Amino acid sequence: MKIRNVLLLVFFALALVLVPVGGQTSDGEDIAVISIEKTPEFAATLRELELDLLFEWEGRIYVIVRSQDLGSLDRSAIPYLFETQKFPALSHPQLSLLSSINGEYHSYKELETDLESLQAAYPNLAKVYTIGTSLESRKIYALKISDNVSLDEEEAEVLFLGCHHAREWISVEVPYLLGKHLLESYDTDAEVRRLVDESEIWIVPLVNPDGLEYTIHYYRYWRKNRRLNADGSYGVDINRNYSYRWGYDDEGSSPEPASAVYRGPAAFSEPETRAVRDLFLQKNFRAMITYHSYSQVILYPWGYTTVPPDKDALLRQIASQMSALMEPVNGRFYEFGQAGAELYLTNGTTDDWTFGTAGIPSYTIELPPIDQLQGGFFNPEEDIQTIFRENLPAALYLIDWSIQNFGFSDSEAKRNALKFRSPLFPRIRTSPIKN
Amino acid sequence: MIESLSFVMGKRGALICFVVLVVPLFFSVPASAQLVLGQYEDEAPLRTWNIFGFQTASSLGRADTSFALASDSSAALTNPALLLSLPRFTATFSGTASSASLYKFSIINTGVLSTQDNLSLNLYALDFAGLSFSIKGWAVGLAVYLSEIYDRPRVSYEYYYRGELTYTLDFHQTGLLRNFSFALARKISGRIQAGLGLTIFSGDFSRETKEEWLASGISINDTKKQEFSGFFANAGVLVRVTEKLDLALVGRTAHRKKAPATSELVYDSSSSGTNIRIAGEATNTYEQPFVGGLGASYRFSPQLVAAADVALFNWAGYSVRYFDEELGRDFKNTIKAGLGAEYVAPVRLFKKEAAIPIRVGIGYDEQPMKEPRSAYTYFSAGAGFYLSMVRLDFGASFGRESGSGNSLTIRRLSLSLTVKL
Repeated sequence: MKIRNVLLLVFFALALVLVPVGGQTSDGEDIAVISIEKTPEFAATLRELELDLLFEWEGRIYVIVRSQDLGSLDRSAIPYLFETQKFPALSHPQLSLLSSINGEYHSYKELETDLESLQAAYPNLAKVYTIGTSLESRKIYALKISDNVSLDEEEAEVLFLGCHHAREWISVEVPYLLGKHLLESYDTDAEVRRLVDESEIWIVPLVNPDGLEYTIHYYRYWRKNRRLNADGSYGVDINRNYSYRWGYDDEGSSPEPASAVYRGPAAFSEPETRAVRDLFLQKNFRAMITYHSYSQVILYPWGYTTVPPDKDALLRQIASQMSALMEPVNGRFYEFGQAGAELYLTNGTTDDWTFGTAGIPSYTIELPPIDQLQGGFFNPEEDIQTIFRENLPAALYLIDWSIQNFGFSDSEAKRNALKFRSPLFPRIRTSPIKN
Repeated sequence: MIESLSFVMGKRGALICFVVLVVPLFFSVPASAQLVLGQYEDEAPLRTWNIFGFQTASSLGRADTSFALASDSSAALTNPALLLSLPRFTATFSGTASSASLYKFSIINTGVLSTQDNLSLNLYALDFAGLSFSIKGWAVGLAVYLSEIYDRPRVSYEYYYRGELTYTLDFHQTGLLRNFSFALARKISGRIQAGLGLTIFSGDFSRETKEEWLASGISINDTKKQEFSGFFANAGVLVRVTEKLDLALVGRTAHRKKAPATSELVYDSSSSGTNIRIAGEATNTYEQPFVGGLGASYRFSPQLVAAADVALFNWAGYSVRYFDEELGRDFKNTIKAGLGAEYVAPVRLFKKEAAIPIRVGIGYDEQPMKEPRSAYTYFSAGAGFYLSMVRLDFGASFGRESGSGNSLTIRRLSLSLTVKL
């Protein structure tokens, strides 16, 4: 065979293994617009902080801030209001053009990356644990925050949960941002440092990763997990799958697999609820918040009945304090009350189980908006920080309450709740602001 | 273009070439009737994942066997070396009517909307135009064709409460991949001929899911759009082992299907004036598999020939990067195999010599998902009519899937017209 023919054959062979390469990623910056009351004292502080001032209007100074700037304002005891929603032309395109398929909200992979980043950035304060695996083999992560984070110390443990229901995207962000805030503020905020030093805070921002991914890729309003049921329908409502009064009646949950509130074939039939259960039983939690949306209410047990629990006064008092701390931030009032009486009957829920099992203050916080017409399960991306900021004082309050009542009896705890008057947050405005 | 082609093949050939190649560019879109479903990912081509080249009616009738036996210029897309086996000039165009049944796709039968039976999608398309010619010892192939169609059965759901329409849900997905191929072939020795092809492709994808609550004036619209582009090479070698037996080795490069994409999720409440938009942009990538294959053809007599193909698709290396995230696609390598035969019966018609080819075939087409394991078994048949310089071919195949439990089916009818000089 001639050399020319050999070269031709080699050329053809090479053509079969050629592979093009390339790729790119993008990321966005977290910015917001806030307003601050114009006083000589605040104006002087703003100049010192070298923030980007936009303009003055009706006695308020409007400022562009990044997330780290908010920490500086907090430390300077300057009250502020989030105003980003008033500037769609400024904030919306900038955020959306740089964002991924689900905008500024976390997907499972993004959350995984961000939790690992927090652990890497704060190795002495943050540790990520895998507490279980979902039906589709995604890991369910818990972020533990405490000083001496690798040790199991004799400290008050508090649990924050997010995204039992897949479509409630904001319920991932609030607990995640709580963890981020605690870690980022630890060195500069003495009160945060005290809370972190004296407690062990566990955050599970995404209990239902399979469901969340389905909402991102296929159907935004999916609620349940991704269990293929015996009748061919999909999903178990994992907030009806906990064992306390599981299947108590068919009003608070459903035995029908196709129902949106299908409770599953048995209590804890789902790996997602078992993951939460196993974590909870290994620890000695003093309080728990599970985030949901929407309705803008703080709910406490019982959900399975309208009959009040024996600790109704304590639960109500803590809910009342949390609501009072939240309202001044953005002017949004969170109703509060017993779940079964305030909203609707539910059974097999997280807070009924944690309260029924351990007797600890347990809350479901239904995040904004207040109703379906205001967006329902949709929250604008620029509202993520706003909603987190108004929920932050409530979360910090509950952590502090847990520390104050670590080892106390129920009656002592109740007294503490009643006399607890927001010592952590004297800087927060008390007059509501119209949104 | 006509002038430059005239230089190569004369004005008549150039005109045929122009008509065959350019005109179909404006028509080669699937005419959507009603579609199907399957347990397909969004990017899964309708019918089968294993697409290599294009089967016109003649090869379709032989269970897609085309590695070692040429019928027309579509040979350029699987084994370009076969271009040397074609007449001095051929021009072919082909149309297809196809049907596929699907069960699980997107929001259908995955939890949102359920169907009792498989859904079906029927498509009609003028989907291939190609030509081949010989010049100075080289054979050249040019083709434009539709390789992949991403349409799904459109599904609309309406809910009535006390006789009044209160809720609607509409799902609509469409898309295609259009290819432009150029191939060259040359005889390397007395028994060996080789060919190389280059294909550039482009296409689009659109998926829209829209929900409306009519009483409250709330709507949610979820739209995903992608624009595909990329290129790949294919090559083939044909060895004439004996006067009767030909063996072929073919391959297609692994390649990247690149897709600038946009996503928009919009909540709108007309009554409250709430409008929330969550949008994203990214460049998606689909790492398409290397394909390698072996083929053989054996001529029992001048009238009877049999052909067999086996192709390996390297789906184990498949990956998808979708809006900056790697999507899990737990795929395995797959085998597609076919065995076909063709008998050409000489006839005399209108005082002219003519021929009627008759073809049959059987094939196996394994799908790449590890779970559920799934494969199509298909049967094909075809016939034709050759008179002077015109060939008219008809092919049909019917496939039934096993493994998923949904007994999916695919049907394909193809009609091809070839002019040879």
